Amino acid sequence: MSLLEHRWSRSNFAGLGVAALAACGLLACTPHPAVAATLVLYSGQHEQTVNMLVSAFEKKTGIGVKVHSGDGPEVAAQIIQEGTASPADVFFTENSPEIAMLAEKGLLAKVDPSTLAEIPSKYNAPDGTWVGVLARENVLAYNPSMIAASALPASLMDLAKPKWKGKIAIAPSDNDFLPLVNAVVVTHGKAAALAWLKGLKANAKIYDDDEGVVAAVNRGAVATGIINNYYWARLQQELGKAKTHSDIYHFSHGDVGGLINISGAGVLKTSKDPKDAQRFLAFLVSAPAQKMLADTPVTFEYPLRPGIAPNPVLKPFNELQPPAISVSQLGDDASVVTLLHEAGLL
Amino acid sequence: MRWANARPPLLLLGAAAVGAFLVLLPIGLTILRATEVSGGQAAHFLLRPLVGTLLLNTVCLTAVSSALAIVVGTGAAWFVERTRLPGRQAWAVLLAVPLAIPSFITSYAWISISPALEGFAGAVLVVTCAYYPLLYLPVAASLRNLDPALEDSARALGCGPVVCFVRVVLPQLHPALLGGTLLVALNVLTEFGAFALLRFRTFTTEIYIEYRASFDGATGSLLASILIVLCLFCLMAELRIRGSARYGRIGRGVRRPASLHELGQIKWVVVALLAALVVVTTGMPLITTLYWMTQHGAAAITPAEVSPALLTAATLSSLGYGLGGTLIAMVLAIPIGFLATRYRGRTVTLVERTSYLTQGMPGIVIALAMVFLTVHYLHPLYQSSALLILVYGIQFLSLAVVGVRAALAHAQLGLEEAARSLGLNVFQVAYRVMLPLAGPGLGAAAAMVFIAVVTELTATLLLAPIGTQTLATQVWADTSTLAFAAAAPYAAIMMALSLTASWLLARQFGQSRVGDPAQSHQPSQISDRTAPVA
Amino acid sequence: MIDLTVSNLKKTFGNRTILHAIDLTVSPAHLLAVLGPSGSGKTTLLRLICGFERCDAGTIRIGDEVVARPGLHMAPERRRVGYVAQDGALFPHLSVRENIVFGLSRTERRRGIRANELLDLVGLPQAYADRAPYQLSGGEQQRVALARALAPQPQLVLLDEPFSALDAGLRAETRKAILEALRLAKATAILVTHDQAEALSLSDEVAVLLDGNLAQVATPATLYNKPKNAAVARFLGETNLIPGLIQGRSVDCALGQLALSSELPAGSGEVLIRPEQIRIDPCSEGTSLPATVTAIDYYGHDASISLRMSDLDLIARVSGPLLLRVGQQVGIAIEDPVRAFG
Repeated sequence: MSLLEHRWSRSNFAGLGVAALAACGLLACTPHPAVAATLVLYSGQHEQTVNMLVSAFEKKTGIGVKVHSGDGPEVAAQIIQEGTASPADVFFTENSPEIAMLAEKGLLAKVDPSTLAEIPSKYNAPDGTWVGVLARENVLAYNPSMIAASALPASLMDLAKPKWKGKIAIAPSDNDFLPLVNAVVVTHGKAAALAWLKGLKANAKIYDDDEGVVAAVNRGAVATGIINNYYWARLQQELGKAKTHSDIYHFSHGDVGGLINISGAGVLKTSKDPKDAQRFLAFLVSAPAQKMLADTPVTFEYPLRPGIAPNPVLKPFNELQPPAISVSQLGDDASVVTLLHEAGLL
Repeated sequence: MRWANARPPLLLLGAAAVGAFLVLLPIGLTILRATEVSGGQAAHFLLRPLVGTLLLNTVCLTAVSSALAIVVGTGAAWFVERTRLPGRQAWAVLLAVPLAIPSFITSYAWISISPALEGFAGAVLVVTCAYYPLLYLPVAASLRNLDPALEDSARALGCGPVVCFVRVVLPQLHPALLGGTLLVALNVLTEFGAFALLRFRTFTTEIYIEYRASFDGATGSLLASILIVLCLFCLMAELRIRGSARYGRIGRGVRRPASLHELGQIKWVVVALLAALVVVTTGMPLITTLYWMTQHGAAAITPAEVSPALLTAATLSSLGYGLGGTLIAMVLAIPIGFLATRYRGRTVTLVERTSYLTQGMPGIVIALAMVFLTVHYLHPLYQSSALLILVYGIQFLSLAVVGVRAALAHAQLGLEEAARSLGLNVFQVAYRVMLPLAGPGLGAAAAMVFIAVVTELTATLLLAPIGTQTLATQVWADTSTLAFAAAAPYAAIMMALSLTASWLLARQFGQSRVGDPAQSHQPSQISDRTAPVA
Repeated sequence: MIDLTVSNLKKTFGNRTILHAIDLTVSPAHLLAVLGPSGSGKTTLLRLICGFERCDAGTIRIGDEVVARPGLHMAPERRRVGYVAQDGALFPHLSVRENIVFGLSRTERRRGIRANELLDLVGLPQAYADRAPYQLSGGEQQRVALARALAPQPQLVLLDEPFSALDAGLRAETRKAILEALRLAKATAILVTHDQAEALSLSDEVAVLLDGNLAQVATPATLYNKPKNAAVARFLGETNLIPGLIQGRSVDCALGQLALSSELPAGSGEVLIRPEQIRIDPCSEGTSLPATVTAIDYYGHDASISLRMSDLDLIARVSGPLLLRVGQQVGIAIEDPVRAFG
């Protein structure tokens, strides 16, 4: 041991010192991208979608964007906690409830009217505090080898019936599930929603997120699963047609199961650079950006700008028969978590 | 040797107290936040069936995987230490390697080949693969330290080999087995990444879900408080076992090396079994990662397509944070180690013990507490690199203190006094005596902290400044969207870093565990205590 | 009790031969000491008899039963030998009582009566039964180890340097207690030791093992007084060995012509003069030979005196108060007869 100790002595410590200096150097240079960052984007949207949009925006305008990604409700809550000190300029999220919550708290500035005008007004905030960018549809994924298409339920509400025991998968902790529960509350009332959730609790296999649900259906672990449509499309994209052993079922005739979720974006009142923030929003709804979203096999969501055709994998937007629930009816989903706790799903 | 009666200088005590304070800070904050929830609400929240499920999940997982780890670890240790197994030295090294592989990478490796491994079965598999060395190492050490005369005596008293193992060897292994099991339990309690990827629900994953639902809600702190209590219970029990264990022999005198059992025909069966174990625990993550590197990653599900620039950036920031975190941990640990090796007294014990608490503190709890603190009260630190590095320092303080203590124990007070009497001043003593003697140990401690920081996921995930990606966060982002191919290069680099650092560490500081019987009873510097609790 | 016969026993480790063709017999109820310096193979011999190691050739017979011969190796647990290790090797996880009854059957263990009996036998108070081994002194641990070995009433008790780890005071007391217990148990026993005094004082017979060969097996008195060769003589205590010319019943050497204790063929050889055979006369006169005192090691009850006589260094032992000082000229005389080796 003593030989070793002598070999390893002061010169190594000099090395340690150099390493420490190197550490400071690395930290100083790594976290910052090459472009001078000005905008801070808090995102609850999928990272790959956002990365694509951000790099296109940076290229087009020369304005740098730093992204903080998380789940929609998490990021919204974070902005609320950060309050006036929040570094966020723009909030862009998957589902309307979390951005509606920020609007309710008065944290969002009005969106430029020209930006709002690009999107049909029913997909924007009624008070103009956020703009709709993309839409996704709630669907039922199913495994045709386990259940026939004809045996699938007419309504989402049917899934709480005892005959669905063990045949359904849900991800109650995924933030995409919350708006759906909220929609059930809006259409059927709180008591019915709780009963429905309790039925689901008895019937369903629980997964962490929609990715887990769709994968389970695809491999035959469970016959059906409640998901957003594009998770299935992405699974199919990753596995290829040959390995896709599942299909999707659209709830129709205005059933609550066919709810359409709106992904929206807004500018924070506390933004230090509202002008560039508004430019980013305008870019999100611009024809090139919307077309890019539709054409790249990344998001599989419906672009909301009229005249842009969605990815051909998706059922055409106008053929969907969603329930008649407006974004303002949907509101925020603050009460939904309590319902889920009560039903024992969280 | 200690200055039994001398009071430690205030400056030293103050410096050491900084570390202790930083350890207590997140615990205090978490409990404080938990008390914000009213009694009724708290009862409602904690008496949910889910909390029962989490407890049951944790207990079942600990029980099943500990049982497996006991069988695997003890079996492997016995064959390596007590039989004429071909290539004993190599096995002794190979069997400890899984400790250098981050468990969420093991998790990634399994889940990416079969989603069927989601849930309990997968969790058992991953926990057993990743943590069986926590039993293998202490059991092997106990077997080495066990006086062979005990077994000889038992044999002469009429016990056959099996009875002898059960009545004499096994009871001596009790402390090692129990201690190892508690370490497995502690890891099960604090592990986050591996279970999140396996979609297996435990307290940590549920705290993360609460966090995602409400950013820093008090209910998350409530769950975290339960977790802290469970962890501290395991930690105390483990410390107690270690304290009271009578590992050593009673008698004095020279001990003969244990005679090794001949394996005869079954030799190759054992070799095959051990090889299978190494393939499953170490080969799997490596092979799977290499496999995915050859696959095309579909752009659809990877957040960002792998590019050399991105890889370099992630690697550099991992290295940067690794070095920074190591620096902070060592700076916090050195005064504590110095205090603990040189002074005695209630304050000293208190400070030292406090630093060990971090071993039982899940990264997610520390991270959440610090988010709360900075967002409300220390906003300039919020979302800064400095905060993340500080949290690393807190998280791995116990690891650093253990190493620093061992290192400083080499530089005994007597030597220092001898040097002073030869006319050296304090700084000369530090440079010419302390550094050469304690240097290797300090280097080893730093290396272990570095490995732990580079493979850390949870705190990084929650605290990385906006726009910063590390290897760990990239693996996480890609794997949670099922983009296994895209995650592979990051996973590969992380494993390469960790394995290289461990290898250098073992080569530089480790002593051969088997082989030379005269040395075999000396405690190795890389003890079983140093497993990163991520 | 029973006898032990070892014949033509061989053991090698790798290419090193530890034991060459050992033949040894221990009579029933006798204590045989195997005496040898470290590395002589004595512990290996013991481990072969216990069955912890396999022998390469030869046979071991305990009573009427052959426990080892080419092609046969009876497992240690079936040999019914009692074994006391160097430091006792008490099981640290068991109490004294549990240690003692360890080798008994389950039903016997439950009754637990024998523990008290055995504590009596080795001279320990019964209150010790519930203590943990680490609460005992080294000597007490050794006694418990013997009690444990005796409990299953073995055919043969083997003691591997049981006193070497004890300090002087404890050693004498422990030796006495253990010897007493062995006598009471009428046990046939083998004691392995490197301590000559221990071997000579305790045993009925001593086997001297040098470099893997049995140099001599004899009673303590015979061994001390009639060592077979110079090596045995040298190993058995302080000696003066000086060259001489043997002439039948006497020998010529630097100390003059001395009578031999037994007749030897003529020729050159070595003369063995024990230190106590040299008598020192403070006044160097008369028939005595002149010598100078070069060193005195005073032990209280006696003293060892180093002497120089022309180019010869000698050691003498004198008892009682003796007024000598270093540098003093003295006369010495030899009390014959002496032994010589051709």
